[in-house]
Amino acid sequence: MSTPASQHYAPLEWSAYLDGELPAARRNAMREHLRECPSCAAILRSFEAVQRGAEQLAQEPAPTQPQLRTRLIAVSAAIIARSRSRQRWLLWLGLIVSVVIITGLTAALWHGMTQPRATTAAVAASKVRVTLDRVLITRYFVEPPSLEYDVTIHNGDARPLEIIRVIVSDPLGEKERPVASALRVEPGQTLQRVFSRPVGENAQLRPGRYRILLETSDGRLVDEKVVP
Amino acid sequence: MTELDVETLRRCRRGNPAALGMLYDCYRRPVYYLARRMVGEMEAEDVCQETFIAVFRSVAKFEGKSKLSTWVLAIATRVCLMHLRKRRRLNTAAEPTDAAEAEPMTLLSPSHELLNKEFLKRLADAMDRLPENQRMVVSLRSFEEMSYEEIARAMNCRLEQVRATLFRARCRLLKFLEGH
Ligand SMILES: [Zn+2]
Repeated sequence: MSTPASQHYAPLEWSAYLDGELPAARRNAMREHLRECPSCAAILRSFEAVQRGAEQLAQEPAPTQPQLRTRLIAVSAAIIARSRSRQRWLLWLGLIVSVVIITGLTAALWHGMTQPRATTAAVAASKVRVTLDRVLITRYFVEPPSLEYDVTIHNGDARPLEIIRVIVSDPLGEKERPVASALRVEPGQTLQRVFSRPVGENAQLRPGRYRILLETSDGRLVDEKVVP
Repeated sequence: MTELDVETLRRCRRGNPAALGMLYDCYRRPVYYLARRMVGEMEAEDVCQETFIAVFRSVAKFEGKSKLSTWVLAIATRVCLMHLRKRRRLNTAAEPTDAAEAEPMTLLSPSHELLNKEFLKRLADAMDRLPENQRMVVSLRSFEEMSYEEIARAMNCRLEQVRATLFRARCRLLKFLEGH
């Protein structure tokens, strides 16, 4: 027996049905429908296979790390026990630092390998400069999207570069806006930074001029990028 | 996932090492699994350690408004997102988009031997190809205690978003599994 397409339930609903996330009346009606509709039943079966598979994967045991476990618990227990102490936060900081150092070594090495090397050969032309490498809108799931400026600041001078303020402007309707302050770039240092400002939920990268301006103790450094 | 009993939780708050060990053992597997899926094997251990540091640090403040497992997984979710965010700063590779797809959905062909090793391996590979938020929702939903509401709370988004994202993720997984 075939059912007219208009009477089928949407796949989105079968996904929610599988998770038990529908009101009881809806759920019951859908269960009835399943008995006479092979095409809806096939949709549900497909979602179910994926879900059961994912549950199965989540049962995988984690690798054991007895030494890390012992250290983490011993130090945490001591900290909680002394939790009224004034230096509590220092102890936590110590723990975080030590754990990050131990476990983060591999990651650090990996980052070191993948991070682009600072270019030192090509910058001799001007001693101190800022380059706006690119602009983009990044969407993070838990925060509002942000307009991000990837910037390289190079200090080829013999003295430290003192940046008082970093100001950006863009064609999204916002005029100049400070995004950072009090930065220092040591002599010979090339700094790669991302400056960002939050934008609206539906913001898109518009064509136009995107500008970064550094107010330094010696004047201004500017670079801009035109998005076509 | 078993929940920690009230007495053990009370001892955790006072910093009893045996109780903290029980808490760790109780949730290490799901936390590690989430981390493994979200940031990969290389960084999973880091995420796991950072999560438990945060859990132990704030267990005294846990009010029992949600299940302990949900609370721990919500903390793990934040730590994962922080790591992903840091990585994005260093990486210029484009992230697959999470655009709504209006294509007809792919059904799983009956030839699949469900839940055998080969199927699970292909599913795991397919999950690793999902965009971040889809991967996060599917991974959290792999734990039976995570309802839409609890996933929404962990990810700090609306319940409707969980429903829609999970649906899109499942459609895409089916597509990958069927080799499109
Ligand atoms: Zn139907």
